Amino acid sequence: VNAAPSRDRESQTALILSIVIGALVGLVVVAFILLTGRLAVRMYPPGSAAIRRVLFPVLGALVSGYLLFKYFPEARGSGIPQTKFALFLRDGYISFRTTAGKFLCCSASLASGIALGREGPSVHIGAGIASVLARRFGLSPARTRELIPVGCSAALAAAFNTPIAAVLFSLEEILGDLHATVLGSAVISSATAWMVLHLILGDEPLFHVPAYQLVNPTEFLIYAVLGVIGGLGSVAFVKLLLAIRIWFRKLPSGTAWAYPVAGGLLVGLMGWFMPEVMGVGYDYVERVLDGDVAVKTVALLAVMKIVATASCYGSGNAGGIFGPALFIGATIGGAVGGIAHHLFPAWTANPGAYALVGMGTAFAGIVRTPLTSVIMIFEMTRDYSIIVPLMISNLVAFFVSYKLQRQPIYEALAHQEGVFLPGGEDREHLARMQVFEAMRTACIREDASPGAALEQLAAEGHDSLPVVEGNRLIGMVTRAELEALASRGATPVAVDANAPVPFVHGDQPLSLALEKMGASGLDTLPVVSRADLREFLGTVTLPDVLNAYGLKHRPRV
Amino acid sequence: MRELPWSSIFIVAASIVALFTVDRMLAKVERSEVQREANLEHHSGLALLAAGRADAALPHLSRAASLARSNRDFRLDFAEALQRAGDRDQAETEVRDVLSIDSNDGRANLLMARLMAGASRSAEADAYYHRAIYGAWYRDPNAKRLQTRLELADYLARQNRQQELLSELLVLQDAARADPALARRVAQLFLEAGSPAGAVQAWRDIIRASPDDPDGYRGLGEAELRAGDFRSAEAAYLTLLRHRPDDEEAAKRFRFAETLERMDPTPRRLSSAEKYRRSTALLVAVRDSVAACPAATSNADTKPLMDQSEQAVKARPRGPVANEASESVITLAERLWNSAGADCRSRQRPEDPVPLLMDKLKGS
Repeated sequence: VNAAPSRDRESQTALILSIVIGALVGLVVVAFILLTGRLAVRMYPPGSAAIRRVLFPVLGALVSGYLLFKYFPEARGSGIPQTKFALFLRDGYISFRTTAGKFLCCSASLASGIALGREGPSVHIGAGIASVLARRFGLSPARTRELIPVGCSAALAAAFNTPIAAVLFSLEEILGDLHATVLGSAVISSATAWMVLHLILGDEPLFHVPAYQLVNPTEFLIYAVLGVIGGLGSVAFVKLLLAIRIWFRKLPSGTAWAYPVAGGLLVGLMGWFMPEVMGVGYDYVERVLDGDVAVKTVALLAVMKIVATASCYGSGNAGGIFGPALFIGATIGGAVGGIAHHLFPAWTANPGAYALVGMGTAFAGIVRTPLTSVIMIFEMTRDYSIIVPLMISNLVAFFVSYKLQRQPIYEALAHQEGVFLPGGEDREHLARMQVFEAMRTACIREDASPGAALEQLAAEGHDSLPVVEGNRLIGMVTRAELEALASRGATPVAVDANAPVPFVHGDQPLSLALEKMGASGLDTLPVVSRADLREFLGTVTLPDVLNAYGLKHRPRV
Repeated sequence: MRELPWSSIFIVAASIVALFTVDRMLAKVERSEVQREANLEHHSGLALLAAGRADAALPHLSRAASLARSNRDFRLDFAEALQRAGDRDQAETEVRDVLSIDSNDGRANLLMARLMAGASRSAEADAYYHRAIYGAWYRDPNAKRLQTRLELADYLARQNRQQELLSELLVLQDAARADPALARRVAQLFLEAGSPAGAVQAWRDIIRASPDDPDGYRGLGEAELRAGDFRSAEAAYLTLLRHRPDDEEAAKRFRFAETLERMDPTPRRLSSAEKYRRSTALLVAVRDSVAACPAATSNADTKPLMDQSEQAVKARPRGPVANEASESVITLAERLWNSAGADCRSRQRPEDPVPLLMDKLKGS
């Protein structure tokens, strides 16, 4: 009796917390961005001695590696898999220590020039803040879980300045359900974080891009080629990262604090010759987007960034792969665009246009969220004119990446940890199993006697069946009701035609039928037409549902 | 009813306030550092641009523009450097970007006009020049608008669009009263606009305002020559020589004006014989000029006229010469000159009297 008011109160608290989480996460992420950016400028400013570009990544990796090993083991990596672990395995639990550790270690490693991104860690920090606040305000584990994507949305909205894509990412990647009930809260927190960002840093997109346009319809072909190359690049990156990570995981765990140094040293040596490879690299991405492209340089940088990021991540540094994915995509796009523009100058846009599309391509190929990547690139650049080529290229890259590397990166990373999270395919398969697939035509005729109906129930092994006249559903009758009718000598079967009848439609998922059976206490349900709820189409029974899921029904004793 | 968790609320509120303060401080530091770096880059870029090293200036100005996106001057300086370095497409993209933010920006419109002019897209160039003239200038708007109109006039002069040039000069003339340098330029442009009378008037106004300015007489002399008033030109150059007796160029132009005066067959005071003599001399000069131009001699129309000229020059009329004879020689000279084609006519040296005399004949 007291559960309903308590649930309402929790709902209200969760709603208010969505706003608070948006504000708090927005502020923390802005501080994170500013801090890492300013520290990086001080550690290896442009034009400084090359030795600094080797020294600082090594030092940064050493410091963050030790902190991660000794104090914050949960803060390793990008933060997206860890957020999903919290969501699916720990009832949304992320400790304050992990959240603070993520902020500290990522600040140290990203500021020192480690070639990783700040968006994944921001998502983890956002989810951590949401989790801590939910527990602090006494919310149930279920509500705490619901607030995790809310924190993620806020973090991504502030980190990328992309409020819509942030919500989509939280639903598409973190939750794996675009129709999740937390959509409203995620939108609120995302909008709040975005407002905080604007309040402090002003109205500036992440990248300023000239207004590119499709010059000639034949460009679609080149964008498709970019999709293929971007997809191949994405696969190369994911496979290399996973392989390096596996290799490091085989090394003795007692000296794990030192392994990030390998990534730091490699990126430092690369930075000696090509400083652009260091850090997040958004400055250089903006240059490539402006069309400032020397094909050889951008092609070399694409390869170097793939190796550097894979090594930094695989060796156990703290940082994400969103930013590097954009860098890799922009450089691949710049190289493809540069060649295309050199060969067909009259038919193709500036290479910057290809770099822009390339960003989305790599994101779709690596992170495997094609919808989020289109919206994200659109929001980052505020350029609508390139959206169709972007969609084409994204889908091609997604397809190529899916064919050559079935497991998405975050799923593969979770598997390396020994965790099997619900994948997109599982959810899709479950959603695909519909009532039609398990439907039969069992029913009781309205003119049947209670005795005959009881015999039918016994023969078919059910406790209940729909009662029909012709193809019209009259109602449901249970074994107990029939026995009562039989003892009174009533004939034929009489049911209350006005009583509410639980039902399902043929195109609804089987899981829903199972839920409705549980709620109504019946082991069969009538399947009715969507156009006419009294039009009887068939019956779905509990054994048939279980059979469809591959389970044998144990006969009632 | 459960107690509100006041301690948690207080911690969250305090965290928000503290973080907001820290963020504002960090953002302020970032903005000032970025602005300082942008200013340094911009300064270096401008110095290189002023030294004529547009290519070297580009990276600096590009960085300054990307660091301080909201600074339109930085972006337009970058666009100007791109234009000077020959990267017109990129410059156009940059300027269009600024114009998309403020289509009324005077400087952006002026830069776009220059880009369009450089790309021979004259209709668009005209439109952007006019938008620049009537657009918003944030520093010294009147002077900038005047400079822009003058630049438009120069552009029209280069395009040889005399009617449009003349209409711009009429507007500029008002402003030129208070600006001697502008007045001189306007007076020069009147000649380009094919209005020597306007140029004469403009130079007279300049001399009236500063009678001791020798350059005013030089300009007036040139304008009078073009207007066909060779005697007034002589007077102007003479005055100039009084101010600058050692000016060899002035002395040369004075002698040139004298030559023209002596060759001119149009004055009414001339006797018939003198007019005929001058007409024949003019025909000889025209014939020699045309003969010196290979394109004209290969022209089928010119050949018979050259033969007729030979005959007219050799003819020795007996007794008093009728005015009609002089007129027919002048007409022959005009036909021969016109047959030579514009290319040959424009190739004449400045000290060649024929073009000016033929212009005068055409005008009369």
